[in-house]
Amino acid sequence: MHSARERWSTLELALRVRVDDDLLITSRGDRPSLEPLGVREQDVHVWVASPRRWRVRLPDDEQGRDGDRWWTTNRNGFTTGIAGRTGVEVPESDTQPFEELWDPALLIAELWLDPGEEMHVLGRKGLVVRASPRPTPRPSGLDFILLEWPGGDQHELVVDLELGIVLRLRSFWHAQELLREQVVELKVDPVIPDRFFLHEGAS
Amino acid sequence: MKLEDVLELMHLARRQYTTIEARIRHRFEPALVEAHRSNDVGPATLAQAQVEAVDHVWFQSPVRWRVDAESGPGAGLVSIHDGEQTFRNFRFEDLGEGSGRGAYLGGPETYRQVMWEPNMLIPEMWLEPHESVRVAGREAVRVSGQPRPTSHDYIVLWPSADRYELVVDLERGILLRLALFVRGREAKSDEVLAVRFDEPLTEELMRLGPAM
Repeated sequence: MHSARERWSTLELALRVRVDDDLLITSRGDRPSLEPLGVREQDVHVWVASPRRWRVRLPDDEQGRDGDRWWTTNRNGFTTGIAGRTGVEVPESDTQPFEELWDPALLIAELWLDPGEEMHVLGRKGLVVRASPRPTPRPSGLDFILLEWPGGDQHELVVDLELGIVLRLRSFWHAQELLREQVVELKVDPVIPDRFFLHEGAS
Repeated sequence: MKLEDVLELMHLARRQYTTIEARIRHRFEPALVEAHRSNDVGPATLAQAQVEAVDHVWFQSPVRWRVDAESGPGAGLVSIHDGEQTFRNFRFEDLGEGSGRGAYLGGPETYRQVMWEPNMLIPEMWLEPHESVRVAGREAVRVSGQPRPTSHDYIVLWPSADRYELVVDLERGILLRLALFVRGREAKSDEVLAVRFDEPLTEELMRLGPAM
């Protein structure tokens, strides 16, 4: 997990994301919705070259980042946001989309990890790692970084034994599944054109 | 020693003690730290005066601690954090400005959180173990670190440095020394001079008054 980012130059991931919104509300101690919100499932496509160069296609919008500039477009391709870093004085504290999967090093700092059995995901050998939260006060005031959302009281990772990336992340609250992020397709080191991460490249 | 063994030690450190009492020597070069913090990219200056201080620290995870500044610019300052309560024998506005001030502002830097919970540093560095060393009479391993930018860009160690040096305790996993190098020079370091583990932090200790 620590060296995952040295083991690939680019990644293309198709993900299936499942969130139990009612359980999420309950786990945060908030008042439940009058009408159950149910379970949300989304297909997401991610291309990543580094923490500063990535592009994510969600059902309703698309986001990308190239260096210090990042952007968002809606489903029709219209720009809904574009921004740049404004100074070098302040450390950045934003997490990148699905960073917990493609660069899980930060999870080492915020979870107690308990390696378990091997299993296969997408034909790849993985290691099931059960994990519990390890709150640590940080200068930012947060106890967690990558798992501040969704929270949860237990997690389960499947770590790719060759790449160190996380092929599946499940977060639980009182033994019920709160969130699942699962890689359903994986391309390692695909050739991605330089301009692909630029805002101008959005279509 | 293998890298994976060092990572395991650092990751598990917090399970290897209930409390820590340590005397720590803090050294820093104010001009160099300030120049680096303000992103002054001018040519490296000649070595300037180094400031040295010794702090006495008691720590119990997650945030119960006492720091007595024994010597150095902050000599005599006492800062205590006990649950929701905070006690200090000084006012922040009396500390003045400068990089030495940050060491007593009451946050994680004051009680040297990353030395007792070095798991936080793992994502922020590429680490390489070297030779065995003894620090504060304890067996340890020297480990060099290179910056490993995360999306958080040194949110734990800020400002960042060009390179780092860690000394990891072979029994407890805590850091016995952490040094930050800038422009080839040691800009800042903390080194444990003496350490005791698992002594209860008494109620008396956690209130203002002389440390027992």
